[in-house]
Amino acid sequence: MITAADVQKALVDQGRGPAAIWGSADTAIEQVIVCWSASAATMSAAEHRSTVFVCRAHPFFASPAYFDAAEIMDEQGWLERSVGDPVIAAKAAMLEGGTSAILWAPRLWDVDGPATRSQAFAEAGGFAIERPDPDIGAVTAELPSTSFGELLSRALPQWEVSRAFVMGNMEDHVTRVGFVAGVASPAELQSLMLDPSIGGAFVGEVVEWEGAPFVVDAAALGRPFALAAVGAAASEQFAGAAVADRLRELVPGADVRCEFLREASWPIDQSADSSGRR
Amino acid sequence: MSLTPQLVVTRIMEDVARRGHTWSPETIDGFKFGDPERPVTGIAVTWMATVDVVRAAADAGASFVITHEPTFWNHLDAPPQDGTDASLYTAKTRLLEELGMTIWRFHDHHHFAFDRDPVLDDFFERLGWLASTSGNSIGARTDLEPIRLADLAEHLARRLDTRAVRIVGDPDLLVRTVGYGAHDLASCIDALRGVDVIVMGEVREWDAFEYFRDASLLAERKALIDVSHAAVESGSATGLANWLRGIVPEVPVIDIRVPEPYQTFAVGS
Repeated sequence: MITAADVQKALVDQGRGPAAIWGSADTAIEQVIVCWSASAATMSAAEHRSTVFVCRAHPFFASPAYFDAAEIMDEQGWLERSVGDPVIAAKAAMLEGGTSAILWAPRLWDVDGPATRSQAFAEAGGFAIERPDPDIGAVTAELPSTSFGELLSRALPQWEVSRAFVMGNMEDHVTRVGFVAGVASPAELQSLMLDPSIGGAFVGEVVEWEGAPFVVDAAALGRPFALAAVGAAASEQFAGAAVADRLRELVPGADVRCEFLREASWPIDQSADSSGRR
Repeated sequence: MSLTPQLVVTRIMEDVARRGHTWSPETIDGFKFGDPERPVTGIAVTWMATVDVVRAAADAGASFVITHEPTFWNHLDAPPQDGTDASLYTAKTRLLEELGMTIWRFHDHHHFAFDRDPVLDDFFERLGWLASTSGNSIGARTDLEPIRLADLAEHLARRLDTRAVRIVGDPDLLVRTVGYGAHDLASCIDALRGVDVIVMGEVREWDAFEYFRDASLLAERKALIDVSHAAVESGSATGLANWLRGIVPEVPVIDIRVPEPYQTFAVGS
């Protein structure tokens, strides 16, 4: 019999903490669902009573750095104020009295190093990546000369994303592009820009006072660079397949599968249901 | 005595004090580049001192830029860490030196050293909501005639001149009350209890997006409208420039708009 607590301990022992559990830590696991976010919809659709949802995004909506910055979060009153929130309470109630659990293990997504998420992101978009640099989170792909916009048009449906925020000239042809899952930092973008053959990057998000003006300033100083931000979940969740493989080793005999999310948001000129599960 | 950036900042602090507000040394505000004692030929006020903005300021004869957001792509305006490439940082600082520019950040006090937050007031005014909004900080509440969520989002896009608007929630949700949050769920979770929708300027997906995704299925019919940070705040430079002209009459004061950094690319574009 293997429990959520056993998996948690194994992750921490392997240096893949933090790993936190909500719900039943000591029930024998029947099924493991790997999901970027343990959304209410994903949890509702689970087929087994004793399911462990292994997620990257915090199930109660704190930032991924929560445990690194718990003191700051407490100063902001987040812990106290979130206690009476009806959404958080309703989600917590989904676990009360049951035999399922959520296991939040954000660093598990970096299965084979920091480039794991970016590699899965690139491959899910139909790109063949070059050997990733083990020290950085970005990966690259070489390809026949194609406009960045054409590449984006082809990749968005494969990522099951309807829109992206873009910067730079979508008509510029590129022969090598980079990929950064999650929030692309100026340091990661700089590492890609150092290679003059890299014409642009696909990323999860860029912060408007960090990565976005970095790209703007680079262009103004003579380094044009195309960028498409397709969303955090879309850029990170495909690494769930590698996470699932690792968990099959940790939980032999358990039914381990991935659940992918659809976009949480929709842009103003389209409508979509945002129930959170496809 | 010639006007210097330090003297301009001193006058700003004196004006803040005269209106009964305290200048806190424990904020992000301060000089970020250049010489505070170099004579000021003109002042450019902006939301962000990008390379394009700095060049425009120099072209207009300004030697002192007052910026709301960082200049060097991180909250602290820290130089790149050891071991990381610094070529863009070096290129930007070289440009600033060549232009003889001094940069001062005015962010925290811009929000709270006035009787009302001028950044939010500018935002509400552009939306036509100033008269129907109570409060003037995180947690402000706006009462509206009932409007569909999708139509409300279009209203924001039109009035703020942006297409970087995203919605989490039912497009047919009837909205009567709007709350305002900053960049994360923690900033609006209290206000959320009394409103139908929260408008935020640039949120990360891992907290607010997932919260509202769950909210649509769990406790309440609530929604989120996420607008770009620039669309919410960059217009406030105009009011800031007007205020500065009153306390620094010796030199020209201009405001330089910062365009949104990105466009929206949809499938089929």
